Amino acid sequence: MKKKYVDNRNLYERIVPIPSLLLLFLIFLFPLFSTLSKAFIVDNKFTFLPFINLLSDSYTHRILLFTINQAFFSTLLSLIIALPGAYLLINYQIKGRKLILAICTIPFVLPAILVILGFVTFYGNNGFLNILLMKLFNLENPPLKILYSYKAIIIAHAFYNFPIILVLVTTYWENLDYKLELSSFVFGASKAQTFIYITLPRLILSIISSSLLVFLFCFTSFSIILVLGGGPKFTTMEVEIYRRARISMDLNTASSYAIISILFCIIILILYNIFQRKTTTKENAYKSLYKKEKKPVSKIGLILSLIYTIFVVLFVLSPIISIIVKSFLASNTRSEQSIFTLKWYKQLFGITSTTGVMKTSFISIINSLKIALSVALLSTPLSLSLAVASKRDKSTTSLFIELLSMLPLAVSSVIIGLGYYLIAAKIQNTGGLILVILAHLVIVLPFNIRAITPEIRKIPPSLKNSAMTLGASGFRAFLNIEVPLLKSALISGAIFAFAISMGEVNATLILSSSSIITIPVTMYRLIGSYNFGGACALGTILIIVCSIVFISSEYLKKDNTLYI
Amino acid sequence: MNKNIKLKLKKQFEQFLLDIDITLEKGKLISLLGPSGCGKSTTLQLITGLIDNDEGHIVIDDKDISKMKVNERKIAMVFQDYALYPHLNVEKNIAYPLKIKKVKKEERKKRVKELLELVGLSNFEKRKIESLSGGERQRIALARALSYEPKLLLLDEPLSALDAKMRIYLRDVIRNIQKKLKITMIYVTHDQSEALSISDTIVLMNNGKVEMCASPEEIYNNPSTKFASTFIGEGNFIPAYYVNNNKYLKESNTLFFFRYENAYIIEKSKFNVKEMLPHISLKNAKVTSCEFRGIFYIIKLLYKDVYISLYSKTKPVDEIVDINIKLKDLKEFNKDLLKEDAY
Repeated sequence: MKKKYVDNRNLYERIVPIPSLLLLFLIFLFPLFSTLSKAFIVDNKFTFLPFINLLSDSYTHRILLFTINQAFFSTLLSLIIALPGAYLLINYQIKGRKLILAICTIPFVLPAILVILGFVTFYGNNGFLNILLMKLFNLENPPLKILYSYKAIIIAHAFYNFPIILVLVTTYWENLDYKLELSSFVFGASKAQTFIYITLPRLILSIISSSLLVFLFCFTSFSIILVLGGGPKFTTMEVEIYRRARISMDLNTASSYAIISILFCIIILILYNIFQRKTTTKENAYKSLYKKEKKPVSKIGLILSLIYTIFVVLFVLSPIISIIVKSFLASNTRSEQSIFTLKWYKQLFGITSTTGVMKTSFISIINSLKIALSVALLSTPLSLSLAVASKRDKSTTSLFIELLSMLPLAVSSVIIGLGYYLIAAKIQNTGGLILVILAHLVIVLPFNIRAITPEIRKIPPSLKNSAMTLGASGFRAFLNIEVPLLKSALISGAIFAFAISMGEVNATLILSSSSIITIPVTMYRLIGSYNFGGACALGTILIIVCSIVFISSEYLKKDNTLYI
Repeated sequence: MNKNIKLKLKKQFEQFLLDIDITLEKGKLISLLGPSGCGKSTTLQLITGLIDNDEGHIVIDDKDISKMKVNERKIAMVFQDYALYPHLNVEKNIAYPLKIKKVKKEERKKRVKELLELVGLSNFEKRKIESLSGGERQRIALARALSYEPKLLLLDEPLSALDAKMRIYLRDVIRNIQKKLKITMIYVTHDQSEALSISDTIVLMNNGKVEMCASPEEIYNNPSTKFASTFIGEGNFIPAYYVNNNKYLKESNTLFFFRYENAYIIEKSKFNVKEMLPHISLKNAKVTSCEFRGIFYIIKLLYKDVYISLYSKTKPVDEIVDINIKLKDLKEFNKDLLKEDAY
């Protein structure tokens, strides 16, 4: 007779995620479905007609085509910038290696609003680049007209995304077994032939999967296109959702566009997952690594890597630095010369009185801090409990939760914002701050879970098992052994959550009312009213917050020697 | 109170059935010996309750614990990778079971000190885990398991990650502690010399089943299966009718088994001391190779169509020699039974 015993060992792994799952359902799926259902309910009647009409509308096709077009060319430019860097990092012992990789982590933590402001102050008609070129070549008019055009969108996206490709491809390339290249040389292949026949085919999977990720980010990009595109000419799906919801107040159509956007994102995500899985299975095949000896730098290598390092440093840092510089500058009314000033900071902190958007800027700082702190404190226990579930290997629940934590990637922050906007409308705009916090929480969760999951998977099961054979209950073993080991992952997850919330502009912009304004929303309004000095002062404060995140995340990077 | 531990374990895996029914004496060191993949570690996990038993029982002190939770069984385990907690120092690692039992702090300190003395690592309290060598980690893991005062201590290949010298040293440490504390240990190993040298009882496993369960001497001298005879020590098989064609027919299914050290070379060109004990003689075997092994040679010979190996202190001079084997050292096996042996 076969008896089925109750499995008590991993009971806590089943119980711990349940409250978080319920909460996730409430704060993510509920607003999402209220958005989606809006597309099919007109005058309290269920109908597919408006959605089908929208699908066959040529305006929809145009927007969709442009969204794909800009995402494709943004990805292409990111690849063009990233791949030579990956090649140099792999093949040469470059002195700037650490610098390049460190610089590359900056865009990861840089809020979109800072990218926008940085681009305006650096590439704008009165930006530092044009001023420099005008002085150098004695020109009367600004030679570069990048801003408010298609070019600006593509360059800003590349700025944001080339580090993703560079880091992912370099890491993958480094872990490829060089034995295969060596054996190719043995068979008489030249370096170029070996690269084409042996290296590239193995590398291509990681290039494709990282490109798909970038494509997804560009597809759902919103504020960069809204500001830097500068007009209805460059409207993407997300911009159209915002415009319909907040400007023409046509919520049904906005919801319909949201559905189309989600469907496309899911397709991209599925493709990404397929390629990602292929790369990991290939990776596993090469356990015994034979690493390539890096060439000492030849003259050409030296020049190339020097050029690349300088390019990366300038490309990434110059917009950021220009924000800081500009925040201390004001134009002298008499001579039109820029002079050093603390005017913007005085206005910011209410030391000198001012009018307009700047008036509420200090409140926005307080708001942002309140929201970001709540988000960090709430998201960390939530992500930990969800990560516990994803640890359980091969079970269906684990897959389900992994999908669930991926889903917010398919649902852009604009759509999440739209969902909460609908809820806010229903409850007559009460509890605004809480709604912003919840929306941010949903946006932050996937990132936070991703910070914890790999670390929780690294913990050998024998640690928990041994605690249990020594008398600890499953939950006790989790608290005593696993949680302390995850400490730095939890802290860095919380810090990231804080930073993402501080810089979040997409959902907040849709949700924001006159009472709930955050730093990025104020910056958006300041840019809109051409008050760049004030925007830069606020931006500098945001940069300081991001730098703290950047530095502490580098500091918290765990060494892998922890588990023996 | 019953002095025995009764284990009846059954677990069906996808391509593998573990089926064990043994009774072990308490206070002894019992080795689970067998090739990798034979189910030794799985057996330990079933005893601890880290995986569930399909059916059967685990009886200790007249009580079936097979339905209890892992943390209620009072069975400690030293894991193959030691499973020391990297965020705790040596003292806190060893005191972990005591802390769970809510033992007072001073008492915990005292116990840790005693245990560190026992494993020969006094004053290691404040050391960090990553600063320890493999051998030290192993002993800390042992001390931690002992601090739990388990009814049964399981060790899962505890020495497999260490170098040869450290292995020999630490197996004596483990054996001495076991004797001193009179604790029951189940020791998993794939190393036959380790099992032979430290165990009271060896449970020889193959393919999820127990091949033989006996003292090391019994297993070595009287192996009951072909697997048992070849996995521990080295030996030869020879058809019985080659040895005694009066009693056995050519078609007979009987094989004789003898160990390398029980066969002697008789050289015609040399003076040989006359064998006093009854023996059999394999005439005119051809020497095919001599391998030098330090204190002895392994001589390989061809007798009729069977290759035979034996130990010899000297290299034979003659190419054709006789082989003598004492009758008491010959063991009979049935060929048909052997065929079923997977190994």
